[in-house]
Amino acid sequence: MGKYLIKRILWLIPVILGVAILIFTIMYFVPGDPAAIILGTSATQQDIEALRESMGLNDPYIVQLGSFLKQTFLEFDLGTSYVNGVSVSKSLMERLPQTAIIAVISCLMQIVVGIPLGVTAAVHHNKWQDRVSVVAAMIGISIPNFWLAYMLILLFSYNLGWLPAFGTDSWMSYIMPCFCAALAGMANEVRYTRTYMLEQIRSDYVVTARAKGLPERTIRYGHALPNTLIPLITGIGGSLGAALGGTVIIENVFSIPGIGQYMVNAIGNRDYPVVRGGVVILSILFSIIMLLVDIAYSFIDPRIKSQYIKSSSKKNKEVG
Amino acid sequence: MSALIEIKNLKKYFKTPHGVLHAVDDVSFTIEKGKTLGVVGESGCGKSTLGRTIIHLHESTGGSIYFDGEDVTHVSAAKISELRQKMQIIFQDPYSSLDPRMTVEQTLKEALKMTKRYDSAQMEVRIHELVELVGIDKRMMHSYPHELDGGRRQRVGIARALAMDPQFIVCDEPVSALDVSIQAQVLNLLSDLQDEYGLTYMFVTHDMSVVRHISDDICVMYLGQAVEKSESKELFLKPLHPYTKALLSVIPIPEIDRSRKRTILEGEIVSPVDPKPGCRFAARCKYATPACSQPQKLEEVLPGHYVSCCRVREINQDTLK
Repeated sequence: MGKYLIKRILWLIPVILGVAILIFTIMYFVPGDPAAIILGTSATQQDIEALRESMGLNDPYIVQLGSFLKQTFLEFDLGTSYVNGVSVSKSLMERLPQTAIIAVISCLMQIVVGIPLGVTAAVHHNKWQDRVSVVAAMIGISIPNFWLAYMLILLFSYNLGWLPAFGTDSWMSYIMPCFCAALAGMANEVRYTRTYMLEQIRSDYVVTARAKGLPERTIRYGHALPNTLIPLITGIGGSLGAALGGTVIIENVFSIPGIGQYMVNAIGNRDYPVVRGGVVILSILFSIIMLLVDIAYSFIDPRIKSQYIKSSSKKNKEVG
Repeated sequence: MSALIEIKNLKKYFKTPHGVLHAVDDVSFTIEKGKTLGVVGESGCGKSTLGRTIIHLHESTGGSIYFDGEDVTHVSAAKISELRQKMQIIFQDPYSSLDPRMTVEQTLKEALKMTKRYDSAQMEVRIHELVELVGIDKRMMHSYPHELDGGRRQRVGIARALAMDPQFIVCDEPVSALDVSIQAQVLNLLSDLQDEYGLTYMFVTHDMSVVRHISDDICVMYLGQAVEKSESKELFLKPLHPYTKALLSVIPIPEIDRSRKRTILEGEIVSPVDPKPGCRFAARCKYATPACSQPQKLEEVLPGHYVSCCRVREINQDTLK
């Protein structure tokens, strides 16, 4: 297991390097000149040219790429924003907590609400519990989150005055953004869980468990559910990773200073260091989450765990 | 000899969007202690449903089931749990009928826990015993189902069924998913276990050669109904029902010079959904007459040999003389 972990962590290096090179290349070829944007419309061609020279934008691609990689991965410096001169890593660290809170809480909501509802729906297949969950899930998926956000603000902030409409002053401010961010995910989780669970409930080994005389509870939660969790964990890991990139709409509606807003503004401004730095940090976070998901597999699926143990203890894999 | 299993007019209907599916329709038979009843018929004739209904994996629609003289047709959930220790099942597909997340040992342990007869030390001993009994290497005890081949998995399935010390086992096509060479091993294992523990089997299969090898009595089913019942040897010697004749005529004979007339059935299988009264085989039967659309009854044509066909005496004049 330890050996496997080290291998997986080492594999992160080429992945992250690849992402960094890719994002650098994309930004290099994207039309638009940061120097012109910084200086504004009144600047002369000479001024722009001079600034480009001093920013190193006239250097050949390979030189720029080399200095970017060297700065990022050897000096651990993400540079400063072209627009406001603030250190990128400082800005990211200021914004990451807000985004992370929303991402993690909405992800937890997906697990805590989505999976039990999906299991209930599957267990009571074609009964009213199932119908209610399926309809609720359809509604959850169909509602656009910006509309929901404004409706919630209207109800809970404007009419009832229970929750703050924007900002990040207290934990109360996070209730509505988290719910909005989680709704579609929860609804999807219900549908996935229901489908996977139904598949497991209908499978032969469940009949075997019944033939053993096991109580229905043990059959559902001891046999069917654990087999359902394997594909679900994959989905949850992916959606957590995506949520860490920030949800621009939610952040904008609720005026939350998060990663999503920051990155989108930076792309518009051709603020290269911010875009590159942000993408590199996010790719590292995403890779770590995926690694955690893989480790979670081995706890959920004993077959995978036994593979690690067996392949490290003896070389011969197949027996017969 | 006393009957361990007795079913009377057992029915199992399923509601479908198209109507009521008569999977098992009015089947009666008894199985004596230590004997094997083979239930044969083509796919979809309700033979698996019959087996599963007897051990209460399905709730029966009508009729009654007796286990060792006791009426167990309608019983509470607690009683079903208790019955499971006496009546077990071996499934057709050894690949999907084992939980993929459980090792051989865990699968067996779960069954043993249900009996509440063993403490953990005894359980260990019993698991070793079972594994040895069905001929699985001890080193495979910690393997997951996907690491085993079909024959070994089916042995695990058998060990699992045996774990509870049942008196009666429904073998639901236990060898049809296996290679022929492994089929023989598993069949031999099953008959050895029968000799050793006095087990009673209901052996469900579509394979006539297999059923001949293992059964004392045979019940031929067609679309949910028993069409012929008899002692095994007698049935192979003197098949009386036209459907049984057709089934037996297509068993391959491993002799190159001997040729035999095969009866190839024509016509479509009648749907088991809302069937008409009368002989269900009539649509494919070359002897069919208008009389066949009347309800048919199982009738003792020869001693211990029951046939459900109104023309059985006309058709089999030579045999019955």
